[in-house]
Amino acid sequence: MMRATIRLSGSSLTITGTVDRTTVSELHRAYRKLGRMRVASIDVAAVDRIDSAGVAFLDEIRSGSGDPPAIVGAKEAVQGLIDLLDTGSVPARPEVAREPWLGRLGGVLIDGWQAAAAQLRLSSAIMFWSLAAPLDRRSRRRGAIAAQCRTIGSSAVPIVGFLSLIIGVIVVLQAVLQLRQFGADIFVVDLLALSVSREMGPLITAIVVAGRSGSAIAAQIATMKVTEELDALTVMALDPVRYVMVPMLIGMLISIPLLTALSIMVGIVGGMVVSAITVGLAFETFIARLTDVLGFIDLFIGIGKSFFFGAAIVFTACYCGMRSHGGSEGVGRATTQSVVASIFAVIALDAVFSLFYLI
Amino acid sequence: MIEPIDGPEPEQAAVSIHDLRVRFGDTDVLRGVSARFVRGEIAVVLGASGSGKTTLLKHILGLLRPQHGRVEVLGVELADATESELAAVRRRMGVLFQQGALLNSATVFENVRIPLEQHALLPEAVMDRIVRTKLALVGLESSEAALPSELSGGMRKRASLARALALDPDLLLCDEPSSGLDPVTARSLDQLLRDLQRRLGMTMIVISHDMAGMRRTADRVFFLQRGQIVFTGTVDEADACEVQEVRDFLSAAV
Ligand SMILES: Nc1ncnc2c1ncn2[C@@H]1O[C@H](COP(=O)(O)OP(=O)(O)O)[C@@H](O)[C@H]1O
Ligand SMILES: [Mg+2]
Repeated sequence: MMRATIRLSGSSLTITGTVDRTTVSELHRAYRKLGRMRVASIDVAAVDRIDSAGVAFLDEIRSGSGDPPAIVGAKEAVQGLIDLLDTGSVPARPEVAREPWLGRLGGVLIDGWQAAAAQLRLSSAIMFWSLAAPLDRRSRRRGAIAAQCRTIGSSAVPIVGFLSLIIGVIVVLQAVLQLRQFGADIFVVDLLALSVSREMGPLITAIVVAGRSGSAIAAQIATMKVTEELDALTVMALDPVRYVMVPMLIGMLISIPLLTALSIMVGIVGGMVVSAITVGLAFETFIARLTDVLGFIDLFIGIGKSFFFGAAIVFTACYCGMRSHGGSEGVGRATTQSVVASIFAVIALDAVFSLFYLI
Repeated sequence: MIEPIDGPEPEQAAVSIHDLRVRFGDTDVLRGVSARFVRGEIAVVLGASGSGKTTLLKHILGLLRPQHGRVEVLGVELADATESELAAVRRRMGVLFQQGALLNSATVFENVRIPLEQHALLPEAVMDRIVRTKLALVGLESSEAALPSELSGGMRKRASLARALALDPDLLLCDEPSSGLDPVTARSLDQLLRDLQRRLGMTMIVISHDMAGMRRTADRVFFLQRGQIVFTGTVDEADACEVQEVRDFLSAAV
């Protein structure tokens, strides 16, 4: 026994039984089998129960046949629900007109230009207030810079140290394989010292910091943005740039060179141990060679670069955070964007610095 | 498959709670709450903020398991229900959370469609129609393509109500439905809840501290005070009640 039936007699459609979300699927299929026809009225006298799905089904039939047919014979309860849920007046979704491609291209370019301008404005504001920071102690919380140094710097020491150690080991292992063929074992020191101090150390440190702290900064600012905390600060006459972002930049500029120095040191030590093991290079020989090849200029370049990397990470993260919108979803998006963009920025900057070596 | 309830059966409990006690750390949040919510009724639970209303609601939803006492919802004892029994009960409940709790990544339209897609086997066109109807009921038909973050607090709440109504629940739970709404919208929302209750025979448990709304909707009032139900009765009985806390609460709203 079917719980609901639908049949056509003349131009009148008769529905019986329970028309709810458990039967509508079946009824819909049966209705489609009846083929295209003109329905003048729908007889629901024998419908004893209906729910939203049932009413929606009736509406579907009525809108499918030109002149909406009348619903006749409904019991009081059924009619009551049909009246309450009447969708006759519900408008369909409006069509959105697509812009021509030239317009879209223009839109993209304008958006890009405006984004770049906004990024530049924000970065220069952070920069300006960071330089003015010693004279501007009152506009940020006490201990804010120290707290940033702890989260960006101290707590990154283990991971930066460990990764740099591995990098030092890898560089030496790779180099030794090649150099040994020429009996040029000693040059492993040159290769290690220069690559770690000029490239590997600063780059590895910056990438770790971008992943750890860039994301944290973006997430924090984005959260403050979507929960209107930034607005609250502004209303309390506190500038979010000075109160929130300046400590981040200063904390970063203190932490990242120290982390980079650590990374270079650990990388070289790791390499030294491995070269002692693999080619039996004595520590004294290694250190003597190291002091010959590693000049002040190499450390200056390596650690100097890290300032730029750090600033790029903070600027990118702050910008991504500020631009976020759309609740918790937006925070996640801002964080991801910030990590991707700041790692990109770091590597692009590094490429630019490499050009300087050519000169 | 769950059979729908055929009309309200008077005096049958949709939710019954017996001696529910809840501690968080060393604060007693609920201290022996017992209550029966009758089928087909609109019950309003009143109480100051922090009195444990949301905690009570979370127990009815099975989001929190009772530490002590019993909670029976639509004939299922939640304390020893399996996950699948719990899921079956939940399909018959609709919830309007205090903050709306819409999925941020989906549009309003999709948010309302989710329960239908997951729990009802219906033709696409019929589902779309149900969604539009429910959105029209709460007056959001023109915002269907918006993301929740683009809505105001009150609109988000109405969208959440539309989602709660998607499956024509037997039991609708509302956590402060009218807080954050303007008086006109609040009134039409109350009217809507009344209509739905009458036409669909829905049971509703409404948590509120909106006195005007309570007077418009409540069949029965429960008054929660420091973790205990200190009063149960109709609105008229509440007006005539001698319990000091209830008097304070009612008179503060005038
Ligand atoms: N997960 C939790 N852990 C600790 N305390 C809680 C938790 N949830 C609620 N509380 C406490 O329980 C009390 C009642 O909270 P709640 O039920 O949200 O109140 P209401 O909804 O009536 O305003 C409050 O004092 C709150 O601090
Ligand atoms: Mg609450």
